[in-house]
Amino acid sequence: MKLALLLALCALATPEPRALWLRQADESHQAADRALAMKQPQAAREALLRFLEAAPPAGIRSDDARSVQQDAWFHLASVELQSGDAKRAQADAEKGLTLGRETDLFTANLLVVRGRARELQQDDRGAISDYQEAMRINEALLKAASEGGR
Amino acid sequence: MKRLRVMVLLLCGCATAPRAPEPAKPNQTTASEDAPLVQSYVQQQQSLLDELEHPSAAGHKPECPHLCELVENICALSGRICSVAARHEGEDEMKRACDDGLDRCSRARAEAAAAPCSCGG
Repeated sequence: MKLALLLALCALATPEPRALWLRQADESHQAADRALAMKQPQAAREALLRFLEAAPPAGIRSDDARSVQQDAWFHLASVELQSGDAKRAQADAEKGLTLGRETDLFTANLLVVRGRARELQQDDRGAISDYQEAMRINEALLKAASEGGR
Repeated sequence: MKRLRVMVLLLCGCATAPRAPEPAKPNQTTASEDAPLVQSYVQQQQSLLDELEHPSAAGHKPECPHLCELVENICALSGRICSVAARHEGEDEMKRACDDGLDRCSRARAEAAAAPCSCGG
C-alpha cells in the first residue's frame, strides 16, 4: 500500500518518459529473473539487452541514469557468468564500468562480477585488482556511514 | 519489486538518505560460489530500504545493520582475495594482497565496533 502510494506520488512528479523508462528497467529485470528460473539464459540476456539499448530519456539526472544502467549491466554480466561465459560477463561488466565509476555499490557490484569473470579466465591478478577496488569502495562507504553516526 | 523501489526513490528524490550507499540489487542466481557475497549485498539493500522507509528517529545514530553489511562485504572480498592468492603459493605479491585484505577486514570490524555496532564474526 505504501509502495503504491509512493509510486503514485512519484508518477505525478515524474515526467512520463522517465517513469516509462524506469518501468521498462524493472520489467527487464523481472523478465530476466523469470527466464533464468525457467533455465532460459538467452531470453534473460535479451530482456536486459532490450532495455540497455534504449537511451535514457532526456531530463533524467546523469548519475541516476548511470545507476539504473549499471544495475542492468551487472545483472546481465551475472547471467553470463551463470551461463559459464566468463568472457561475455567481463565484457558486460566493462560496458557498465565505462558509464562511470563512483563510490557506490553499483560500481562495486560491477567490479566484483568482473573480478569473478577474470578469475574464471585465469587472470588472477586482474581479479585481485578488481576485488581490491571493490573493497576500497566498501571501506569508503563504511567510513562515511560510521562518521555519520558520530 | 525491490529494484523498482530503489529506482523510484532514487529518481523522484522522495528519499533523504545519503546518495552514496544506495545499493544495486544483485542477481540472486549468480553461481553458488558467489552466494555469500551476493547475499550480503541483498541484505544490505534490504536494510537500506528499511531505513528509507522508516528513518531512525534519532537521525544520526549509526545504522548498525548497514555498517555490518559493509563490514561483511569487505571481509568477503578479503576472503576471495586470499582464496585467489592461495593458488599462487610462494608469490610475495599475492601474499601481500591477502595480508592487506585481512588487515582491512580487521580494521572494518574495529570501525564498526567503535560505532558502536556488534557485527559478530
